[in-house]
Amino acid sequence: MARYYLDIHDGEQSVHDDEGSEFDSLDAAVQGAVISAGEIGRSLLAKGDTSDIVIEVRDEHNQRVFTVTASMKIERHDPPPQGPHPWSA
Amino acid sequence: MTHAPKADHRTNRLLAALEPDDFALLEPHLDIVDLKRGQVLYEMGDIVHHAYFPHDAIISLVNVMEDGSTVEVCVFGREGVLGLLSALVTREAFGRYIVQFSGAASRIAYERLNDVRDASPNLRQLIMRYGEALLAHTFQNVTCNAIHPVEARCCRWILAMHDRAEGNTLPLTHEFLSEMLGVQRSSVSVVTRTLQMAGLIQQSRGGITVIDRSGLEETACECYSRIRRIYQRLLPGTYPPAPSR
Repeated sequence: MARYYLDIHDGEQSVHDDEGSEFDSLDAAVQGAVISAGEIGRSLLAKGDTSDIVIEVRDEHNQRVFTVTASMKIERHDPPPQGPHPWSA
Repeated sequence: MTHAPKADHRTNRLLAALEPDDFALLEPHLDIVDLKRGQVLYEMGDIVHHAYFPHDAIISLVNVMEDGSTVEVCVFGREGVLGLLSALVTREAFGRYIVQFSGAASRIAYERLNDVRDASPNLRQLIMRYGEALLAHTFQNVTCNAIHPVEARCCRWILAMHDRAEGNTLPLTHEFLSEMLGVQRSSVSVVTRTLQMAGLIQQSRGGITVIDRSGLEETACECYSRIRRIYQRLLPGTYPPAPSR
């Protein structure tokens, strides 16, 4: 088990983690950060906010060990022009 | 009220809803116990010996997964009773019953409660109504957990605690909230910070203080008010009234 600190930036705000969470391994911490980015992103999207979620993770020695970024990009497509259908003649 | 709240079985609103004659049948078998935060009343699969009617204590039923992670599936406060419908046939606890807010509860041995229920049609009726409400409440939680984002669920959860607690300050840590909601602790930190910035709650070492109840209700999903309505319809008067504090 090791303690990792997940600092989160989501466009509007930054939350500095001074409490930390226990994870079994570095991979488990990556998993946790990815799940968290999804959970936070879904809450933001429910309010129409598509900001990136960036989670910077530090270890017990205050060293940055990895960063997870979740981005959501929505492109709306205009409907094609409504000309006469080629087969309608 | 003539008794100190801690000494009065009828602080529990289900017991308070009983007619005096029906309550008189139960009263000789009820003990008052003090429950401490973090105390586990039953682990999953334990044989249920007593039913508990909480006064100011709040108890969560959490499901425990193989990797030890937990998620709350139901909550019991002064509006309810736990251990009664847990397992009508096997008597094995559905999950871990953990005290999340310290307080008193009235306790009765399972066999005694069964005897009184068989002798009292009104008590049987009340238990059936409570059973239906609890099932409907649980179905709503299942749906909510499947489709609603963390922020809305977090508001629902804080409101449900506020309904059952004595004051406005709820002794909750982010770690604990994350276990109840079945989400990452870091997600809870972001959500509670957002709610604080919006002026709905205030966070401190002591926990989370509710500042703007109606704001929380607006931010919660429909599930909170649906669950309230379920209890109010089936058990008029037993669900705590919306605190006007």
